[in-house]
Amino acid sequence: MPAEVLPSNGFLLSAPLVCAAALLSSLVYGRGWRTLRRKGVAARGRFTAFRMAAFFGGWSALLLALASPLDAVAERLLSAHMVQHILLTMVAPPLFWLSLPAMPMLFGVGTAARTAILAPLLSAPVVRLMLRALGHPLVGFSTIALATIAWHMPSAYTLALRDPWWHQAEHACMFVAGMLFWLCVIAPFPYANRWPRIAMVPYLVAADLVNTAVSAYLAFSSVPVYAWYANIGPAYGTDPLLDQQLAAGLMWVPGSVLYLGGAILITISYLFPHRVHPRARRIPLTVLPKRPPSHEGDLLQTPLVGRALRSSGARLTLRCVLLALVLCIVLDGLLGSQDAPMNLAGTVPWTHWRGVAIVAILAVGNVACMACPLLAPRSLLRKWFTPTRALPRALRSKWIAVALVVAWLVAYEAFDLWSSPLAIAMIVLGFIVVATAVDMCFAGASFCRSLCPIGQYQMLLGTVSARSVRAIDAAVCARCVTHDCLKGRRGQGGEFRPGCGLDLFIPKKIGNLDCTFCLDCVNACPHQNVGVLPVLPCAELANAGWRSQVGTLAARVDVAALALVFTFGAAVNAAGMTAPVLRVLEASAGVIGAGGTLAQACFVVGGIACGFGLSSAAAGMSSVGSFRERFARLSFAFLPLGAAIWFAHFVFHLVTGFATAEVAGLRVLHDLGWVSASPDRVMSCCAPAPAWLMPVELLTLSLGVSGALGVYWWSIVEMRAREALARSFSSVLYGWIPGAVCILLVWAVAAWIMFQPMEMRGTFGFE
Amino acid sequence: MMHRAHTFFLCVVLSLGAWTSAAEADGGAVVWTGERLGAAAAILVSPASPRVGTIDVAWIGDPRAAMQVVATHESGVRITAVCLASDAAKETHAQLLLSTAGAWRIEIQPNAAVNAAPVSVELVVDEAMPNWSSFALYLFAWVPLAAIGGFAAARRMRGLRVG
Repeated sequence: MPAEVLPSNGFLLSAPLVCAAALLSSLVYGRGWRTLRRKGVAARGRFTAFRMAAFFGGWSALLLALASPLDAVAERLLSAHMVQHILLTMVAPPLFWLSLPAMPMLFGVGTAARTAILAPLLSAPVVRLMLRALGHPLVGFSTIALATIAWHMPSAYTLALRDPWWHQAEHACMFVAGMLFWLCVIAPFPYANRWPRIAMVPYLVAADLVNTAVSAYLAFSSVPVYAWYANIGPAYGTDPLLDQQLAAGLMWVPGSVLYLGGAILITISYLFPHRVHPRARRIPLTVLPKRPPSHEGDLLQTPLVGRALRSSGARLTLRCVLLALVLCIVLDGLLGSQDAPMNLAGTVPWTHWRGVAIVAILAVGNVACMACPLLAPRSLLRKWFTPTRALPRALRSKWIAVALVVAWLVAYEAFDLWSSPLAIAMIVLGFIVVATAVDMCFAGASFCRSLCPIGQYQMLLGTVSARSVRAIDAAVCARCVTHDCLKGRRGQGGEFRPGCGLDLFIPKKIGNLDCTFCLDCVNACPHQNVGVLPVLPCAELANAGWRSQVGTLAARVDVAALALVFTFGAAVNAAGMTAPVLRVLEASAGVIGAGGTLAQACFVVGGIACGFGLSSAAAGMSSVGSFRERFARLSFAFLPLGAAIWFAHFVFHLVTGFATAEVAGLRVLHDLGWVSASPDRVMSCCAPAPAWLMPVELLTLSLGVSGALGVYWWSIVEMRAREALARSFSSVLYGWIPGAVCILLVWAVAAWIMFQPMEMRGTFGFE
Repeated sequence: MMHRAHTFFLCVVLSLGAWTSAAEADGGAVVWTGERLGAAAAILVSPASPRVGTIDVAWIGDPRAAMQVVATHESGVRITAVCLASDAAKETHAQLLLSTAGAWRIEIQPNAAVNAAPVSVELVVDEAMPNWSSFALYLFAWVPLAAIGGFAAARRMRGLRVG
């Protein structure tokens, strides 16, 4: 096949992005649509089920055009390509506008994003001017006419087929032109067309004339117009000329039906004025008030899951079930095959639990700590014995956690913990024993707060989560004098409902730091004023003021150090599985002459130390606030990026190694004599990474670095505001640049890691 | 007190780690296991999801010098390489430069001298990792986000100053 007819990889470029956009915007639209419908009869009359159906119809058309096999066929058949263009310009745009997307999308993004980002953006004079210009009918007609004529010229069409980037640009042009054109025709609320409605008739007829001219040119041409299809058609057994005539027919007939049908409908509505809806008035952004306190979005109010989460018995049952599963893994680790990929202890904790936990924490909050099986023995034993002694003050800082997390990362890399089921089983058993012993000696959740390295990791992940345990109505907390969420209380049956084991006072609690989502506060509050509510991810990191139990976050260097270990540990842990890094480590081990263990330990410790050095240097270059505060603020700003790296790493393992649990489970069943055939060792390996995984990983990194840059920006703004310094944009910018460069450097390293060949852990261990 | 606690926990974790086997040949996928020359043997391929380019084929088992690895593509292209000793015990390995994606048959003769049965495995090789520029849309998705955020921040700060 000549190089010029090789298919492009446009599908790879656009499909994951379109799917992600469809999912995200559908969630936002659905949320906003539901919120608006709750606002009264008028809103319910405007935002009907038809609007919702139109929105999903628009996305279906777009997905069919860009993320379905049609995209691949379009490179071989002109008629299929034409169907794509019809969907992009004539089907998806009117459906989107019929869904009246503006208000539902504004209400769907949430108050915080609306007031912090959208309101200043949409109220900017330049943006308003731009929107007004784009909404003009002349712009709409010009763009559709230009896009239709220009992109059907042979040179432009062939360029789009040869280069995936131009192909995407062509589709983007078609879609944007369609959106601008149909905006004036549909005039969705609150858009107000500057031309009278009847003017849309010649507008549509003129568009149809352009469409007809291009279609007729293609239909009546005696030779194939596009060399691409003329070359590739015979190879696929199709007649290029026939294909071209079919494409022209598809463009001509449905196009005319849509354009002229629209013109006829408008004429009818003009002839029968009683059917004409009154013109929509422009709605200023001030109609978007701050929501009153409500249970809206509270996870605890969802029908089935919410009820289960509110029940302390159900939570205990969940922990007991997970404890039983953990004990099965421990038993397999102790007694089963020591071939890690064939053992439950070698696969489930490393491949499945970590992946599922990180997805759940980012989406719902720190549910991994809530379901922690280590809490089950404590919960059961404390029915008979409740310790009253507090953990010694010296142990309450995060320094022990910092040391333990570093030790954990070193042990994981240098001693290959994942490759020894016996060691894993011993560590898990040790965890259960130590956690139970500590919690039986000291009051509250002492082990979780200060000693558990996994808990610290999960709590830090929780700071970038989309949900938080907090008070529903601050006024109710202000009237409360008993503070049962902290102290606990006796229930109606005389049973004791404990308060927060981590001493977090709900009205003064900010974010998820130090919160294990145990939800004891939910049962302890007599006013049912505690919920698991949606929050703006990362917002709590920019607020480094005083908060319950933690104190002034900006002054907590130990928490800052933990955040840095979390972020740079993520980079080191991910880099440790790439082929180039492993080659360097092997070479270094030879040079040092002390084996791979020392080289890998040095790599982990050195990587984290580099992170500390980098952050200190960046903090030292700025002048706002004290060095200590700048260092702490920058460390917290790294957290979204660290979470993104962990997410990309663990989701890679989850997706490519998902089948390993099946093989390990079959081996256990075989050992027990319940299954006759022994699974093949070869089956225990990883599957190839699917095409969508890399885009998802890179998008996650992009979100992480955006969050990190945003958090650091607001940290600088807050510091300057507190010091009563001039808060000009440029002064904040100068203070922000050193930290931002540091963040971008870590992002670049993480992106480099994503492009390296991965050496899958846990697939060795053969003896 | 704190110093002692640090030392204690570090000792516990490190001593647990010391029990584990230090796998020198980290990474790769086991594509065959069985018995050859009276001993257990396996073939590892690294990276685990092979792509066009260099792949490492390792033989774990009774080591024999000058073992030959033959890779044959479904189109008939044939590549051979000779196994070299590895740092890891009981391991020899060879590196093959596979230039085409598709199904490859990897054949290893453990010991031609005693006419041991050759081992043959199928390997599906993906296309080479696309260039980073083809992922630029995802890689640099943060740029427009940061630009919008920056613009909104500037607008907000101007509003605060005026207020």
